[in-house]
Amino acid sequence: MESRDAYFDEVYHEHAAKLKRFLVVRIRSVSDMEDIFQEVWKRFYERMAVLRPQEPFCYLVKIAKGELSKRYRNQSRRNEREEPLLETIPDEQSPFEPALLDRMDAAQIWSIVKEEPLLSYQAFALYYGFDQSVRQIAKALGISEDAVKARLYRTRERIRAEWKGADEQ
Amino acid sequence: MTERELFKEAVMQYMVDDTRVMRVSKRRKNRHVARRILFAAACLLAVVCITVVAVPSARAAVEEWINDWFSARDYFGQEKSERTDEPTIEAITSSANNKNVNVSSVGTGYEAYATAFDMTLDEIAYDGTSIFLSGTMSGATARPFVQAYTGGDTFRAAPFDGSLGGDGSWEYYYFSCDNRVTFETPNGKEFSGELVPTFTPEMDEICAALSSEEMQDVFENGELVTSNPKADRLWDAYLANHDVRFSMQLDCYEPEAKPLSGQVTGELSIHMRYDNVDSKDPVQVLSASFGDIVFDADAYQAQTQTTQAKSETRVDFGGTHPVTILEWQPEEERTGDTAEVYYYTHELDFTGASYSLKEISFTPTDTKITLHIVLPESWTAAERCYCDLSFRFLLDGEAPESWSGCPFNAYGPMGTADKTGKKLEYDFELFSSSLSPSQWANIKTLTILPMTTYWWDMKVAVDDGPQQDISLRDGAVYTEIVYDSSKPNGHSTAFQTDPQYDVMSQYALTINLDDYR
Repeated sequence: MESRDAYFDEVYHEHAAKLKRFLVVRIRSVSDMEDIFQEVWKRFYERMAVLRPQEPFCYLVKIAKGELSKRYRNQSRRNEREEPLLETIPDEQSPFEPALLDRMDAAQIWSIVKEEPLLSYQAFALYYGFDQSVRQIAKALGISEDAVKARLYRTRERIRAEWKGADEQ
Repeated sequence: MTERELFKEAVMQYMVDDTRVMRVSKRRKNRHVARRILFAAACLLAVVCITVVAVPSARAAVEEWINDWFSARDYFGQEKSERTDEPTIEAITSSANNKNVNVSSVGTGYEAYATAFDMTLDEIAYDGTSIFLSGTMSGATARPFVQAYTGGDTFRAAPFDGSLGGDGSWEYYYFSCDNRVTFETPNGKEFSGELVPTFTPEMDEICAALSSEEMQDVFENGELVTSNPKADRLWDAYLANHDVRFSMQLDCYEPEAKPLSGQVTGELSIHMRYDNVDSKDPVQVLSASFGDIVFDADAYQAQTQTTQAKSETRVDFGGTHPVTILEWQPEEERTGDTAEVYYYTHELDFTGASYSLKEISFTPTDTKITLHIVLPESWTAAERCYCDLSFRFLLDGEAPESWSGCPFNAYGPMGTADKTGKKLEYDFELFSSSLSPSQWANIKTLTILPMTTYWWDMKVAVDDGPQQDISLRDGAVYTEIVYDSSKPNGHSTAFQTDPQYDVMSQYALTINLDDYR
């Protein structure tokens, strides 16, 4: 039987992305994402000492559900209310200027996204990170497709504004 | 790079720090965090480890069963004059010749501690799997080890930054001093473990005196001076006049490691440090070595008796018995990442099923029983794979006093674990006994009672919704969707069951243990 660390690494590389996708729609605050993700893998590693599950991803999901339940058990669900669309979201969004794109940094983009409201964070992660369609995201988050588009638009424009602002400084 | 590619990179590279997650996951448990919570909560009965001894209300409650929970490491932790002799353990134990420790490196600021560092080995033993050691350390040396359970001036603190998890309302992480002991042979075989102090009744009283009080941190110029001033005063008084005994259990974590043999020599060393937040290095305290230690790695063989079942011990089952099956959806039927688990309770016809004793192994420190189970062809592959057939025991006709009704801490598997249905039989092992070797030596007969677990009704709540009453009667099947990639919402399921046990005393097997000694 391969070593525990080697097995853990193998499972992590194969299933980490799927677990992130599983968790991102279930968290109730942005800061919970890393905490819960970490806790799931810690518990998985601990249990590797005594077993190798036949279904590693399903086992991870079981652990994740336990962690989510533990964290949110005593909290009543607070869903962010859909903000009304105050402006018209253009069907065609103007692309980022090439010069701006060249200077943009993935780490700093993420630091902007992390500050967004939970639903915007979730929509951005699912759309850009996990290639989900607007329809899939709407269903996953329990909001309208227009709301998904609005949130993606606003986050994108905020990224543009922050980079442009930094550029102009 | 396009905008989409850049945004994807932002999500996938920075949503979580994969390198850190992998590293932290493989790290030993951050006991400093657990202890902080433990002290604040004052009681965590579920923590079955030595931290329980720091909480007397919990300790009283668990003492009844923890006292009959034998462990070889705890045995070595007791003073020889005070422990109940275990002849098989004594037979593999030799003197460690009072080997003293020598400090080889010291972390900045720990020079005074290192100067006074004093440990002496007492005993060493090898049971074919683990190396056990005992010894004594001076009171001054023991301070960080014992304060790990109470708090005090040997704790360190780092401002909370979230890197070790925890609650955002915390201001600091608190760290007790960690230790790691290694034994390494010249050919690179390594055993490792931890040095654990033995708590005498007087030391337990110190813990009792502290348990009902909140720890009061004292900081000066942003640095933690102590996490518990009262603990410091109590330990000052005790440790000034007492040495502290310790014990260790070292194990080899190589897969498929073979037992040691012959006269084994290796270097025994201890490394002490404080963990830290992710952005900072651990704080080194000291490294020290006992030099080479030698022990007879063959002595355990004379104290190990493994006996195959001599005569036919097979018991054929009969009748129908209820079994609740939790069957995973076959992989070929799954779409994407979706997986379902099917809950159903069947009255299974046990005609054609049987179990038998395969062997019993008495080692110097443990007792291991292996059963062989055959399941009927008439069952489905899932029923054989997930049947969860288990066993209870009578010792000389009586149920054991241990809380679980089963005098073993480890047992399994709970079915063939073969979804193809090809396997009809498997070995079921029970080991890591909660009874000592001498307790087993005094037991004449072992009665094995097969048992199934089942329930007909359960309450289920999906996605924190209202509880529904679900019946598994009349062939009903409840499908839990463990993960559904097309419908990520609505598939978080909580169960409340009241399991029943069909203990099949009519299929009991009684073994005369003297036939296996």
